[in-house]
Amino acid sequence: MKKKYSVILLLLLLILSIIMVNITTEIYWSIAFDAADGNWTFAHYYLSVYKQEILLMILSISALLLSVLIKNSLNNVKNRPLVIGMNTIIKGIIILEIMNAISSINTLVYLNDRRAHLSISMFISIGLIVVILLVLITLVFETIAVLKKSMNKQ
Amino acid sequence: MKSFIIVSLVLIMVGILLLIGYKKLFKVNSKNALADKPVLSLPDLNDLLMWYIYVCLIIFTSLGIHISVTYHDQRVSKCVEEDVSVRGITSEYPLCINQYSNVVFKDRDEVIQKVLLNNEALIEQLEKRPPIATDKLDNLYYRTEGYAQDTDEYKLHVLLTIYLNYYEIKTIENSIEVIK
Repeated sequence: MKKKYSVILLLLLLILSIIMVNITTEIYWSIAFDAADGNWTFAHYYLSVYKQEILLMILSISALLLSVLIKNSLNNVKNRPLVIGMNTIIKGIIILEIMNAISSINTLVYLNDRRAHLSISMFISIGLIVVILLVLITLVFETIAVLKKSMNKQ
Repeated sequence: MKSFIIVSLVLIMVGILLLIGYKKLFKVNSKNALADKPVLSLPDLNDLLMWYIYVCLIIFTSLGIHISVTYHDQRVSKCVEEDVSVRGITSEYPLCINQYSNVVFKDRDEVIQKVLLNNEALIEQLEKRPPIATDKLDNLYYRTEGYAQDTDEYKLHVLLTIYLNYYEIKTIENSIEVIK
């Protein structure tokens, strides 16, 4: 069971990243395009998405915790740089989310102008796709390592 | 400000408790390792610390978002002129004029539920067409545009315009005829 621990954590991280991509698509693309087409005020856009943005931040924190736990439970030590890489990207995503939120608060309170909003959503989406790729690569190597270990035991 | 101080104190307390818990687990692990017993795979302390700093940052940001949304609600919902009526809209939906000279509903959430309930048949008919926007109310707003004044679609459009006035913090040129 202990051997499979890292694989389970990696699968959880993969599911979490896919859910996060889904949320970012909804708030930064789907609703954002509605806002652009309908010429919404910033308050209209932000009050439609702020709950999902908070959810996204909570999921990012969970993803960061998972990556920290994965780092110390790897069967193949060569995967460690990959996990450190995804950990760093997730940290970057969280920083971008916080910057985005602070910019949104400023725009909502003082400007209410959609054009003034700092758009960094593109980087969050790209970062998440890179995380998914890294998780997939690590998952493949880890599964091979787990299989090799169980075959050696037999 | 008060909520920020309370949250900071709670986060400091939780942080101290986490550190104490980690130290105890680390001691147990060290004893087990010396006795050749299986050990728990604990995360590195620096990673855990960084994670907790990010948790704190996100909690503060979420609190900031909540405060700004509440602030927006307070300034837009504040009525300057009560007992306002709009042509074609019954007194079933209480209205007022806010500080930005826009007509808004007095109790927005309750009124919009009433609007949806009272226009159920019409909404069902409008929703059969392919959607223009992701949100249900925005979709209905665009779908009811351009109808003649006496139609049900026009009345629903006026109600939805008033509903969307909640998002305006500037005086808008209102097409709604207000009777004071």
